[in-house]
Amino acid sequence: MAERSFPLPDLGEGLIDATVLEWLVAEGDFVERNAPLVEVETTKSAVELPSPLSGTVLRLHATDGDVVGVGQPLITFTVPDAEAGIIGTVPAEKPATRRVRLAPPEEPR
Amino acid sequence: MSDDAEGPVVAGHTTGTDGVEIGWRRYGSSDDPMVFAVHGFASTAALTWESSGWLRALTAAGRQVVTTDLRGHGSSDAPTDAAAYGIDTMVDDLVAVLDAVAPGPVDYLGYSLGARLGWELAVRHPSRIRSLSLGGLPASEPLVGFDLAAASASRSSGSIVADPATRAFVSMIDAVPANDPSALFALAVGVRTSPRSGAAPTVPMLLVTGENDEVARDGIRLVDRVPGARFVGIPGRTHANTLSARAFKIAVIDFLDALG
Repeated sequence: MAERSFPLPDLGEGLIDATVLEWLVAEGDFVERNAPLVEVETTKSAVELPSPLSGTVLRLHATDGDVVGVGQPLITFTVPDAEAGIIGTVPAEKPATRRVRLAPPEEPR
Repeated sequence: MSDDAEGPVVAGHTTGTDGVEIGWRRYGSSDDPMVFAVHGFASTAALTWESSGWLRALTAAGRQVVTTDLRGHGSSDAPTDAAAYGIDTMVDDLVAVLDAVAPGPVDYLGYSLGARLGWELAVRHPSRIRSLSLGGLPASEPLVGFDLAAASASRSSGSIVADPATRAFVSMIDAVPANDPSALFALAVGVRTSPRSGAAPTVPMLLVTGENDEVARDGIRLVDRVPGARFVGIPGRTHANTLSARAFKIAVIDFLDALG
């Protein structure tokens, strides 16, 4: 098994952090790709982040009510080694919409 | 592989009675029953329904979704004359969108100002609306207290807005950089001077309000005006963050499923 960690993504509009409203998954849960993971709130809106992959939740790095900075760790999954290289990507933006998704850190640690 | 969890998207514009262009988008399978989702003051369809996870939840539950940007917001035209923003005119915009996209009655989902417009739409055009799911809807009109002079002065001279309610509305406008303050000030004046219909809808209704909603804290009173209406309170949530709540989505999906 391999671990994959995801930070709070850039939520746009110059926002630097968000407050965790409610986790929709718990450590140990198996989560399908695109299933709702967590709700976070910024000064602009409330946002639901979907899972970037199918995997088992190893660790939640924040609890409900915590403020998390953009780029700080949010969630770590375990995935089978064979799938460790298959991750969610941020799709091309469409006009007048913004899809916020988790993406891996730019510099693997 | 498409990463589009909400299925195909069709986007269009339709023209309101006074020539104002109103943007709309349709998501999901055209074979599925249609939910018509309308956002609130100083937001957009994308912020209210897309990034909050509503499109994902509704399309996964077997619904197609049509969203629209209210005039003054998002992809729609934004006149700066208060006379362009009566409740009547904004309801007419919604009918124009339904004429373009909906062959039959729709399940209406509205939040805040979008909920108020749904109430009025169902009163005036009951044949177009099968049900109402209304979130964050106050029993009284919150924009009545909007202090246009103070809001405008804060814009032109940077002065502090003394009235807390007006200050909250200005903050909502400023929170979304794409908002046009002059259009939204005009909307606030247009809406506050529109009389609220004395009539109540007769279609099945679900009312949902956050238990900490500072805007719609009196919203539960509306249940008494609509026989059979159901009320769901969302624990711990405010006007802004009730929107993304899983419990809100589940309440609406269960309500729609029970209608068949």
